Amino acid sequence: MENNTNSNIEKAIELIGITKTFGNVVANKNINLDVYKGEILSILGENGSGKTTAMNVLSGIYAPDEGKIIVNGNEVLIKSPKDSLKLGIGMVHQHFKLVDVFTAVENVVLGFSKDDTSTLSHKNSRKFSLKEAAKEITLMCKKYGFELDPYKKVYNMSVSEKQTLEIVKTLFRGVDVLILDEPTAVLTPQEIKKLFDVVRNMKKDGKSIIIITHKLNEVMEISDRVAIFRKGEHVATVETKKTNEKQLADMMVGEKINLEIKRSEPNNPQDRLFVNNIFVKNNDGQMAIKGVSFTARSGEILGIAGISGSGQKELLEAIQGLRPYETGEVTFQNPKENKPVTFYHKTLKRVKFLASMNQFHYKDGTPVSFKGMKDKEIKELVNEGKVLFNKDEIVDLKGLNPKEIRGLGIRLSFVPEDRLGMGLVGNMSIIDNMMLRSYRHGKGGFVDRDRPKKLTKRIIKELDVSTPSAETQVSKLSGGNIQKVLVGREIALIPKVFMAAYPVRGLDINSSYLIYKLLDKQKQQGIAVIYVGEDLDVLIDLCDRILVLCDGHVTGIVDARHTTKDEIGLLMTKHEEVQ
Amino acid sequence: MKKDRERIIRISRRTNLKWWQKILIKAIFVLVAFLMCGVISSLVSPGSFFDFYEYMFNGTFYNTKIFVNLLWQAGLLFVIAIALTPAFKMKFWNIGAEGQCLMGGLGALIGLKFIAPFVPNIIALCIEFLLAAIFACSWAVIPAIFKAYFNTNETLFTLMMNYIAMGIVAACVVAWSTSGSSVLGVVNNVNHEGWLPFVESFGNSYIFNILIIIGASIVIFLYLGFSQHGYELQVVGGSRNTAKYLGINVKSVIIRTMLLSGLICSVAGFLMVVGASHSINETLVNGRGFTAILVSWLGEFNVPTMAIYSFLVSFVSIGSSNAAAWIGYSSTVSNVLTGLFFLLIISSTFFVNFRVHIKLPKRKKNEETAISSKEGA
Repeated sequence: MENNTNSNIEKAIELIGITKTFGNVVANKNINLDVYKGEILSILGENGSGKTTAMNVLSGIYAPDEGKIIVNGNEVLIKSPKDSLKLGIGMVHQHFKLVDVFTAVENVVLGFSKDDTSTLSHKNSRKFSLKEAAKEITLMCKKYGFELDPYKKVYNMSVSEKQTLEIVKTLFRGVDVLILDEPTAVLTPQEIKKLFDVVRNMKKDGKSIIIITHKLNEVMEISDRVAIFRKGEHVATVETKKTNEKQLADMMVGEKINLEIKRSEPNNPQDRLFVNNIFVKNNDGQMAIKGVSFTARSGEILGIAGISGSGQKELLEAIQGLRPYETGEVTFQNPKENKPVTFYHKTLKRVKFLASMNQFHYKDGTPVSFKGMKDKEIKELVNEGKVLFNKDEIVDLKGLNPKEIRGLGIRLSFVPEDRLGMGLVGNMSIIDNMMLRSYRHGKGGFVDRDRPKKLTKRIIKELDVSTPSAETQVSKLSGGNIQKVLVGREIALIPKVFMAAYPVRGLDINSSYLIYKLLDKQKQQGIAVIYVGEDLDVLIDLCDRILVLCDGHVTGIVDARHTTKDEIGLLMTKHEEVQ
Repeated sequence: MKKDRERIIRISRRTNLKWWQKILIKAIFVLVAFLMCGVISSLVSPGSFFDFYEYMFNGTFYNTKIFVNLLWQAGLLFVIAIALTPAFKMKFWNIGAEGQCLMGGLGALIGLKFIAPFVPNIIALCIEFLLAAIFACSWAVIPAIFKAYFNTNETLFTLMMNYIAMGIVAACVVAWSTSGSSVLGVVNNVNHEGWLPFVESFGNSYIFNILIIIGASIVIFLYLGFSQHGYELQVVGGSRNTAKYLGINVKSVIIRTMLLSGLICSVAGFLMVVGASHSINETLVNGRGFTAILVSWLGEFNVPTMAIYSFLVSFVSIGSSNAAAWIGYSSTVSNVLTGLFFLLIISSTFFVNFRVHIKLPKRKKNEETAISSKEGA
């Protein structure tokens, strides 16, 4: 693909004036896009920019409202994925469509009929044998450099194997144009390298590959040309060689943006949260976390890296008190040294008990003893703030639910990965969602809507949430705005520990960088931040330390300032021998 | 090929409908529903189109007594609808109001029959209500416990409980009826022990019943809209995981909410027995437990809107049965008319949520004009 401008290069696909609307939302507006034969074309755009919609139109999932599709010079009407496969266009979706209990080869031949164009040698016969198909698959794998066992069941496969299978499934149907939707989102750096090798081999074989992505570095690495989408429109197509990441990012967002993540120095780090050798089960009753220990410090961001499904979710939920753990413990060190004792979260009895254990002192340093004092006098002393803690309070969080943890005065904020499934209620208004954390503060069993209303207004303003009103249902907002609502609410708790699982998943660049900034701000304010991320570049740039999880084990805790992507990538796939 | 692409009717979701537009659409459909009722009635009966409306209004607004009766019927439907609403807001599909009310009625009748003759009236009323509450709440809480602890399907469970309740009531009636006629006469007919007092100036009217219903609806309105409990049950309905994330005890919320549902059902059962029929049979609730589901849904779980719908539905149902009696067609037709009324109101929600675009294909028009011009020539 030395000269794309050369007119003798054949066009495999032309999209002319494609428009697709969903209600009032214009997903694609007058898209004109050419795909050449034998090229790797990246489609770059933020979430919601219409890249997947355009490709879904091409693969027959959506019918366009307007416009034409031309394949190999002929205008075609694609009404279903079957039509598009017949035209040699195949798509691998972000969410795999495989039957778990089937083997690879069974999945490949599923839905295959004798009329389909295929590479099967006996396509004219009414039957086909799995054996033949398996042979075909093995040949194909050799040709392009895949690794796939045709008789392996899907439920035994890793994410990367499943993806390979999806690609093989499509190639098996004899496609010339392969569309990959966010193929690298779930892979480790090593797996991405492998995938890119395969893609290059397919290109050599004369196939066109379209990769939908929003990762700039991958675009630069793999593609010949880049088509940039913004707000449903195709902004430009540029040759990769003639551009750079900065320029692409600016085109993608439509304004100048700063791609730098500012990392402040740790703010007086002190041990805050101890996780000691915990074992946690997942929803299926399997061990997801197998003996994890670490310490989170205040004023520091602890990153958690790992292939998705390595136990990140279970770990955070266990700390939050959402998931039981039988062995191990989680303890919280409440920074109380030299701070006054209060009755907010302690009873008089408890205060008296702690005093008898010599836990308190007066401002002048003399130890507190309530011996011989009346309750009223003790209350007065405490309420006047004259009684101080000797040292930090150590609180065992084991077996407590989130309500009980808060009852002890320990504020753990948590931004879970499934925002609408946990953390927010989709069909409630923004105000009602703000109230989730504070509704118990109302008087006489009633809720107080005034404070959440004020908080909502503040968050909408400060985090620039775009919403018609504060009464709008949260599920009607875009992903980025939903996340802003959730993160804003959790920050407003003024927590001691702030945990976020994949907080930028599905967010556009600007929102993502806003979230990074907010996380760093929390750290500067002395909060212990735990950030579970998937983009290793971001983890390395944002965090202070990175804990790597692999299959429920900690395979390493590295200093983010002195590590590389490769080192983390290796740790992510390192399977420790369990003794 | 091109023809397939150009669809004549396209449907899209409405996003920014103003509140008055919503009301306008619904009002139009209510009007259309009334007109349809008249048309159908004039088709199946000797009476004219206008006769129907005359008898309909006579049966509902003719005098105070008749109007209070309409209010009582509407109120009964309304109170059952508000009983269901907390559960529905929690996405607990309780379709067992029929049985819960019936059991409440049975509890009240036991008090009426066996205790009321021996104690002062005010104490009798308290005992009757207490028994009604115990019976109805237990009928509501059994499916809730199973849902909370074993995640059983509440829809089937509550439905089946209805039939059990009917069976129990039928058995009791047989056991208590003196003549062996398997019909229980009016209990305490002579001295009215344990009856809810009624205001003489309205005849045997239901003014007390209506006041109690208004009281119950205010309680539910406040509970759902402003209390922490009401908020919690919405969170549980919206997302159980979010509820757990906040440390809400999901099980206790489910059970607590169904207890409330049962309690309001017991109000309905209590009023039906102690405030109206002073007797019981298995058809006491007469399908209101199911109609109330529709009312609750149509009212979008909003208490004032449900009141309006209860009134409209009762108006159509009572009015059309009156018309049926006077014009002389089968009373089942009045059920058809009520059903039609519901159907049209339900279909109005489609037009509230969606917009229909009709676009006639241009080419076809050209062809037609071409043909017609040929014919002209």
